[in-house]
Amino acid sequence: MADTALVFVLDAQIPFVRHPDAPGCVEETWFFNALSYTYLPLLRSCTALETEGVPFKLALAFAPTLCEMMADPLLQERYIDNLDRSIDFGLSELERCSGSPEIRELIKIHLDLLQLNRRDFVEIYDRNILRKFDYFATHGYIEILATTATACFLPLFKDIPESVNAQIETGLVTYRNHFTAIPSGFWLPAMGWAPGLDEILKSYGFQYTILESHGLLFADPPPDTGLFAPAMCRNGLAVFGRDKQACEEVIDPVNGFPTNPVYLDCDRDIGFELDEKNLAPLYDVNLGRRITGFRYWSRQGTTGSDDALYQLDRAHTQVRADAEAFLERRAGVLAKASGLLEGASVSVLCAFPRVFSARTGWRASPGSRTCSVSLRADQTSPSRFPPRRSRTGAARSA
Amino acid sequence: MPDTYNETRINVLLRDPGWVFVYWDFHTNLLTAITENHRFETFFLRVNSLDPEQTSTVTDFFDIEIGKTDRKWYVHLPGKELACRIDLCSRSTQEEEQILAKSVEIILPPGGAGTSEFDPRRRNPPLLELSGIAELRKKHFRNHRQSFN
Repeated sequence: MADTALVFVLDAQIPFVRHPDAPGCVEETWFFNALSYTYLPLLRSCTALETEGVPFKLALAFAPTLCEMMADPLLQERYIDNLDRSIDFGLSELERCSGSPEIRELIKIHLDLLQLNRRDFVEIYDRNILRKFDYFATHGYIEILATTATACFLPLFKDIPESVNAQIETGLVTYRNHFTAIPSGFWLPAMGWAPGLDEILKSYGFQYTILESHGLLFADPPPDTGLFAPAMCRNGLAVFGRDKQACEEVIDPVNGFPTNPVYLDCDRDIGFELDEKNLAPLYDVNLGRRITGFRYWSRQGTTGSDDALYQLDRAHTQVRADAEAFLERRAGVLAKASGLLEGASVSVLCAFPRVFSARTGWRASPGSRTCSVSLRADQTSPSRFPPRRSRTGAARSA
Repeated sequence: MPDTYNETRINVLLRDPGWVFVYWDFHTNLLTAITENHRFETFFLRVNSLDPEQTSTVTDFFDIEIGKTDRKWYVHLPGKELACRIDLCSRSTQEEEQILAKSVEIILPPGGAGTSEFDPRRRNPPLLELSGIAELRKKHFRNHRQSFN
């Protein structure tokens, strides 16, 4: 049976929002929410899979700005303070919603998540979750891609190669500060490509990068294997094409899975609905309203029907069905592609921005239950990247 | 950001294979000297098509008149240029032209399949079809055809 692979890449990108002189600013909550609803649940899922002996692989492109924020003692301290305030606020919400047992149940689930996050962040990860990501990377579960120091669109800088080099080098310095491996993959911000970038990336030892579907399919000449195998630049740099159609099934704001009315309405947060007095324990409304994470309604209201409370069990059932449908379609496409290539190895790459997972993915299941969908071994195999080099330069299989 | 860096220069940024963004600036002394000269007529941008193999060779060009206070323009490249350079120029009476600054030469990426007109009857190789190229072409034609035509 041909080797087939479904590759998941998460673009872990967030603006640099460290403001020492402005505690409690709105921007900081972007970072706190990223920790609460993306990275801590992701680490829990990875830990659960490792403990259960489930083989898994995924790739993460950690932006240096995010790494520096994750490792920053000031933001770590503020995150714990934010969690404590959120927990206290959740307890006050239990009182405020004492007349609605269904909402109280949702508040309790969210409180459990916050308390779990606090315990993991302080007691298990000792405030720095990067170490755990590095652990998974060194054990072969996660491939961490390097990227530029800031989210710069490289084609705009191609006339200033010094800037491109500085961006890459600064990104690499941060990478080496936080992770053990030497990166073999490079994430291009916004997947922006320009002729000549292959030479620069190769000169830093990178072996592969990722482009949007049209970046690969509209190449001249187009790659014979479509999106099902990496194209090779003349200098040997491999270029994977992101399967845009597959990704849109998951993230499209109009037709994607998250639009299902049973899922949580992430746009309706009580941080934008409650009055100043009720929100005072959590944050100062005068500094700007923000996402609190306390959301009680499903998307049924946004789809034109009446407001309906979020029902966790229905969402879990739906997320499983969506995941199975997604995987079944990918397996079908991979089987067809493999057939057309007479049994050659094929892959499909799905890359998602972090903001997606925060808004819909992990947050759709605030009960933090792991939803694993099993695949037949002959349908897909774990992700497959070009060989990765260790620090000493020796080649080893990813 | 300051309005000017008091430097006569022109920069070109590629927006897509059909459009470039051009911005420029003048040294105050030069601007004053040119515009106060009674022979001064206008500033203009000269869009040069270059031979992609030998970018110093201009194969064709056209001019776009610009105002004294203009500092940025989007420029549509109507042809199938593969490389271009844009010069900031002034013209005085008796058709005297002066090049004030030259942009760097930029190589335009080929639009490839995106440049061709969408044709639903077109047959693609099966693997490209399976990769979704037909839908991609349709979306490109719907949303970006002005960039290629």
